Amino acid sequence: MSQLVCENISKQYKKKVVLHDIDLTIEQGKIYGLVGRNGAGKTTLLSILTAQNPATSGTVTYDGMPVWENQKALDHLCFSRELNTLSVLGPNTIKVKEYLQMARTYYPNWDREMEQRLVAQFDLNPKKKISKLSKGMLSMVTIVVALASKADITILDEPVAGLDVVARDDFYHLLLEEHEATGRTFIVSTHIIEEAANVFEEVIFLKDGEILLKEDTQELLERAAHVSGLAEEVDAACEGLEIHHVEQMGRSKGVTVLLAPGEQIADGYDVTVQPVSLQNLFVALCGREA
Amino acid sequence: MNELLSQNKSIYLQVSEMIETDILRGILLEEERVPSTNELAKLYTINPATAAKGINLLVDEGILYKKRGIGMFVAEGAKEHIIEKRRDAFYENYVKGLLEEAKSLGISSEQLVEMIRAHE
Amino acid sequence: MSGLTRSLKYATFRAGRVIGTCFLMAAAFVLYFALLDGVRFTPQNLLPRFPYMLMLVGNLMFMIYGMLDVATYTQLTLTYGCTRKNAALSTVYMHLLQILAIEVVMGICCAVIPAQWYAMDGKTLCLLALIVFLFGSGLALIAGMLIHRFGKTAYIVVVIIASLSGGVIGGLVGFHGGTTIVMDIVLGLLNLPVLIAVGVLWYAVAAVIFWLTIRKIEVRV
Repeated sequence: MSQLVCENISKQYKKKVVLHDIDLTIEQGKIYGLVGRNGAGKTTLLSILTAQNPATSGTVTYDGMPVWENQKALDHLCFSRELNTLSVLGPNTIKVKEYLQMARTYYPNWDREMEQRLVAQFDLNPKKKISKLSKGMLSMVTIVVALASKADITILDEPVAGLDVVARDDFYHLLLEEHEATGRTFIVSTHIIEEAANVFEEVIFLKDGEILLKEDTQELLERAAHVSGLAEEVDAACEGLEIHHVEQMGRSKGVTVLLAPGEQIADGYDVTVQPVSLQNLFVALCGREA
Repeated sequence: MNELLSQNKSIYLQVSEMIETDILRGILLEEERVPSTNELAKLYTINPATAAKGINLLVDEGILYKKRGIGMFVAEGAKEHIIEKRRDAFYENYVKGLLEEAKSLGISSEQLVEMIRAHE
Repeated sequence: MSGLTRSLKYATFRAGRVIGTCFLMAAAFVLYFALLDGVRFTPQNLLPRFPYMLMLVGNLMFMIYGMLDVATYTQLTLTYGCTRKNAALSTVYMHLLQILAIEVVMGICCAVIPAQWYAMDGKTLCLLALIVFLFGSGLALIAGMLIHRFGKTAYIVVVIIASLSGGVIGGLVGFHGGTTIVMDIVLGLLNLPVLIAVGVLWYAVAAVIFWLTIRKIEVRV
């Protein structure tokens, strides 16, 4: 079983701490969702996992081998970064086909046939410069690179940014198809949580450079609930439970609870208990306190 | 199976309920193969592990059974079993809520019974 | 294929692109100067200019394009699973391959074209070009890293250096294809073997600085 393990990863830029003592194990064959607000450290974490950037401290290993400067480990990994239309010196004039050629040369298991199929499916023009691409097309290039890399652990950073609803749906189907066919591991970072929630076997919430939780998505949703009603009744029903995101309006109160194993919302109170979506839960856990 | 998923319930429960409903409606017949985990995953755009959880729930209840190397099949007597199960859950799922709402509106049990009779 | 082989393969492609551009641009300059020279398209007026132009164009390309390459492609390869070691090695390999290719062609030109058509000794010209190339490529390595660190400012500084040196070389080799005076003065002041040693040392130092920097840089693409 191949695993990507990171231990005690910290990252500091000058005085700013971006990642704080992160432990994370990525198991083979799962689709992970990485969710966090802007600036939570998602891209930094992903680039350290794939040795694209150095960590300030801590280690990342694949199959027990350190990932840093280790080609043997790197050959199993692909982190398809978001493309930038600007380079250090102005517009990014590198062409799509150059990006693909580079990927083709460097990824040992590159699937040429798949690359061509996806480029055709997405209607990408390889002769176009990166700076001339729309947001959606930029995402498509990163998706082509990620999927055709055939890397055992493939990471996509915001792959659906700028894609329309249909294209997003197409992407999730492609992802599931590829996952079914090969059993590859995927980590997908996204801001569009709701529609992706059911695709993720596990979800990772990153908040202020720390991992808030990493859990089976469905199990997490099962132990989360929204309780509302008369404030006193809600308080009584949720006594002793882990409460997040309290909203109060006059006598009415609403809270999001996360139940630990064995816990339940107390019976006999006049409250409304509703299931919580992943997006609601994320806002409750990572949003500003109301 | 072609129902839409909602956000109000665990996905795997919805998957298993849809299969049950299809069996009840005669869309899936006894001793017939049901779609595979991966087929379901693609149909609903959900993680195959979630789809598998829904299917396994039905296997545990004896509604589906596994033929090694071929796939999942509807067990003999599955329809009866589901009807029985849903009857048992009928009070919890439907009557209880009905009574609660009636109570908060001040509708008495007699009035409720009358309404049901009148509907017939 | 090992990681290094893949890196070298891609570096060969990049070098090929630069070398091809150098030949095309040098050829274009040859025609341009022949035009300025009173539209004299005789072999005598065209052929000897080519190696000179290669030196001029090579200087510009190795400096400016080389710097951009370090700031963009070399960094990009890191995001495609290339190790920093291989990225550094392949970039240096690319520079040496470029220099070698241009030098070989210059050498062939000097050997094939009658010596009396030249303003200066062919061997001296090739060695002079080698120094220019080593200097330019070394500058590209350092400037590429500086751009990464300081952005556009470093770029502008290097472009100024490149255009100054380009102007000097252009002045030496352009219009006065037939005169040796300027070149003689330059060579009279400086000792060629010493210059070559300085050039090699400069590139070596630049390569070490490049390696020390790329070992730790943050990928920003």
